[in-house]
Amino acid sequence: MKCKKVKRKLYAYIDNELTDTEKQFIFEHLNKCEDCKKGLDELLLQNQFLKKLEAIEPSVNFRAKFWQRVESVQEEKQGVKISLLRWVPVPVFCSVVVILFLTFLVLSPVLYGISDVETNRKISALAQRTFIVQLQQTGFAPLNFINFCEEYCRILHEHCQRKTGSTKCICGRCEI
Amino acid sequence: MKIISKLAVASFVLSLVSFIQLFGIEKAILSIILGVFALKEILNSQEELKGKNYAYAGIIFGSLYILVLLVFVILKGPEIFKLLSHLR
Repeated sequence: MKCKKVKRKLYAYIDNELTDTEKQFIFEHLNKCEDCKKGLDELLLQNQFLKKLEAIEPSVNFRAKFWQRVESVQEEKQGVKISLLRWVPVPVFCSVVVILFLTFLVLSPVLYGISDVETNRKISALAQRTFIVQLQQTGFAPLNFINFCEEYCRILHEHCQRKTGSTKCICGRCEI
Repeated sequence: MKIISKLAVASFVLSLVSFIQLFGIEKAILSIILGVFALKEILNSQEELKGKNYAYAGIIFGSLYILVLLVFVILKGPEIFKLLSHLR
């Protein structure tokens, strides 16, 4: 039992990492026990041999490259965790905003109680032209969306002018 | 032999078609969703499927289309709301 304890602490004894009492205890034991003495001699020999070997200098970025490789292997294993996927909720949220905006525009005559038949007809015709029937001015979709918004504004202005009964517009757009 | 993921190609084609006027924004949303599913499918297929770049392109073009629309909504929105508030 004693020998097992001593053998476990032999490395620390060689490296001078033990307290004085521990050192004294092991020193006394080594003088008595032939087996442990032999073990110490073997360790000293091993140490001498290792010291003779030349130290290998790692390349400059060895550590960084090593951890980078470890991370890339881990990422490959995890598979789905890609940075791009983290951004997917952003366009999804944006599309919800755009859809809500479009729905609001199409439903605005009802929501705002615009009773003018002419305006309602124009707005529904515009919505049909843009979203249902393919009668757009250009084939480039974003431009048609922009045209839809511009046209919608124009219809509202016309309605505004009719409502006030004068050519002077209250909203400020016509003054520009 | 690696087989190209059908979902990834569908996502890429849809994202390009979304810029052509044919109905509306739903193509872009669909291309993003398909792109995400394609990526998951490719990465879980133990390198049997390819076409990761198509899936990425599908997601990116779909997002781009939606962002273009959103920019215009932000630019034009206040004017429309101002007009509507006058009509009240």
